[in-house]
Amino acid sequence: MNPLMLSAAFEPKKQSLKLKMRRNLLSTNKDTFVAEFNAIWQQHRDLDWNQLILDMNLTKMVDSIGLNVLQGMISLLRENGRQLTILVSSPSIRKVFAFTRIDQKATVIMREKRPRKE
Amino acid sequence: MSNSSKTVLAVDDDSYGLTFFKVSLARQGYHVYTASSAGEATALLSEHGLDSFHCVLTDFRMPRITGLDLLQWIHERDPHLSTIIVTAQDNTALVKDSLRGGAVDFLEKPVDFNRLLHSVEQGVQKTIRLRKEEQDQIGIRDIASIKGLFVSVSSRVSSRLLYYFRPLHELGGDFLQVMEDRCGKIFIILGDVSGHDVKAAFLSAYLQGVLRGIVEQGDCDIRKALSLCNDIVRKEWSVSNSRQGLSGEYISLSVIALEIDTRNATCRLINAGMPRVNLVDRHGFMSRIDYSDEPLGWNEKNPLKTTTLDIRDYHSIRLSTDGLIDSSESSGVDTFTYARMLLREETVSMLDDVMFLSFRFSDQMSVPSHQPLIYEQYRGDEIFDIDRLQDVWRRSLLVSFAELSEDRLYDFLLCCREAVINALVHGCDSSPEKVASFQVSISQDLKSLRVRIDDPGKGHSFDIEKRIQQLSENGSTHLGLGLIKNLSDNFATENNGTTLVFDFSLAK
Repeated sequence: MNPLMLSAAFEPKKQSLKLKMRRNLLSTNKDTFVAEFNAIWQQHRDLDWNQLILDMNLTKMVDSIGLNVLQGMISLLRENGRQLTILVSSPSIRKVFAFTRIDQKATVIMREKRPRKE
Repeated sequence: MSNSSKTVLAVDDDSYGLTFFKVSLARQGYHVYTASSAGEATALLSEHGLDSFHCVLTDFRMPRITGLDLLQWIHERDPHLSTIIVTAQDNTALVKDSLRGGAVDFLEKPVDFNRLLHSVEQGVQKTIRLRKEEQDQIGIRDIASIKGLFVSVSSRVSSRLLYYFRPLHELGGDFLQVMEDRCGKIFIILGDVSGHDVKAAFLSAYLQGVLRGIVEQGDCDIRKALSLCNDIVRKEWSVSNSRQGLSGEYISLSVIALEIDTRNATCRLINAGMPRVNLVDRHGFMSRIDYSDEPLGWNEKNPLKTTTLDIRDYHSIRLSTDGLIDSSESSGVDTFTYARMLLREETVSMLDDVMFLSFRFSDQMSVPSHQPLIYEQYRGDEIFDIDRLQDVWRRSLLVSFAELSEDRLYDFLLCCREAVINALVHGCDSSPEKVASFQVSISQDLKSLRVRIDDPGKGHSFDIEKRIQQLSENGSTHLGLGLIKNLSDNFATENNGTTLVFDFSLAK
């Protein structure tokens, strides 16, 4: 499969599995996301990691369907004794995570904007 | 035209060659002048005027000034005058230079009689054609410069009219007439005759004259007036011959005609082949009048179909030709956003002549708090195309508000996306038979947007506010509405939940 949305990197020393997202997570591509995530899950499920780091720094929009998919990921990881950390750079997505309380179920880390060089 | 009115100049320093040319061409009826040098040729051309000649036939190799030099001299003064170079055989380089320099043809010595006649005839015809085209262009520019020929607005109502006309072509069939008759009724006629040429302009002017004459006579029935135009176009101008088949000359007139009676607060509308008309209410919200018929010239109904609108609660009406729709679609922004760009005189790409207008029904109603920026109607099955719809909103907002932060832009797009998905899925059942409307308006102070979505669903009886508050750990079917409420200002539902309205501050 040539992944369109997700690429994975297993970091055994940090006991983490890092997923980098390349697109927005929307109603129109959630099936692609789910299919790619499931393929990665099958490959890495039995390895020794306890944290999934979802890098959404390139993502600008997550709609209600996308949020439900993230909620599903959180539930799946919990059932397997694992946790989710989400990296975001969009203040819009950060706000959405706040009032849907996703930031209470997963660790959300906001990337600080670097000051422009003069 | 017989050859006797066509004049040729033959130039050759060889007297035998010159005689051959003169005798050969004179026998065919041409009026022939001769010159034995390029200098003599330029003197003759100057004396009689280059426009007296239809073709120049010149030898290449002449003492002092060559035939190519003569060609250049002629081309600088009259590029339409055909020149033929006569040269020795096998001089390919010369041939290329001649043709590059503007010669229409070349002849190799010894010159064949039939070849000579053919070449001169071709050159003469080309000269005549090019000169006529230039005259036609001058005529077109003269016509196009007559103000009021295609846009005519009565001064008594001009203060209530905002219109924009930007032709892409020098001449075309678009026109606008705004008239008031003796009874105080206002007539607005926005028309588009098919074609972008002199013919379309003539037909447009003719029909305008017919309509204007009828209106100014008094007590005009706009339906009868347009029915007359329909008969003219259909029965007199677009006629097939059943024996020969198609004539190739078919004309149509797309037109919107409004007969506005401000005393009784009614507006009679005929829409024959134009985009739908939009009414704007006192709050700045639009409603599209879903009524149209075939263009005139295609329409076999007599009388034409009309509809009468109650305009009591409306502030204004908006019309446009299809050029606005086509050009905005090609630019990837909403039609109303594109219209604002034109009014701001921004550089935009255009596919066609563009004309649009807004007419205020009365001076008594105050200016609406908001002006339309985006107005669309979406079928239920367009839910599968939501990314493309969102892209049009994104582009429309970016061209309207260059300073808008990316963060705020995506807040807005997410709210609109969720609202439209809700309307198309729940209100329209994702069905192509059902339509929801989506509009975005900008406040007068340009600081906030107002979004309104109407769907044809049955609505709901539950308390939407409670449902939004109960966003559960497992997600919620009303998560989308919750997102809108939290990201926007003044979120409200109306009509049992079939209408969503929210404000959106641009400055947060």
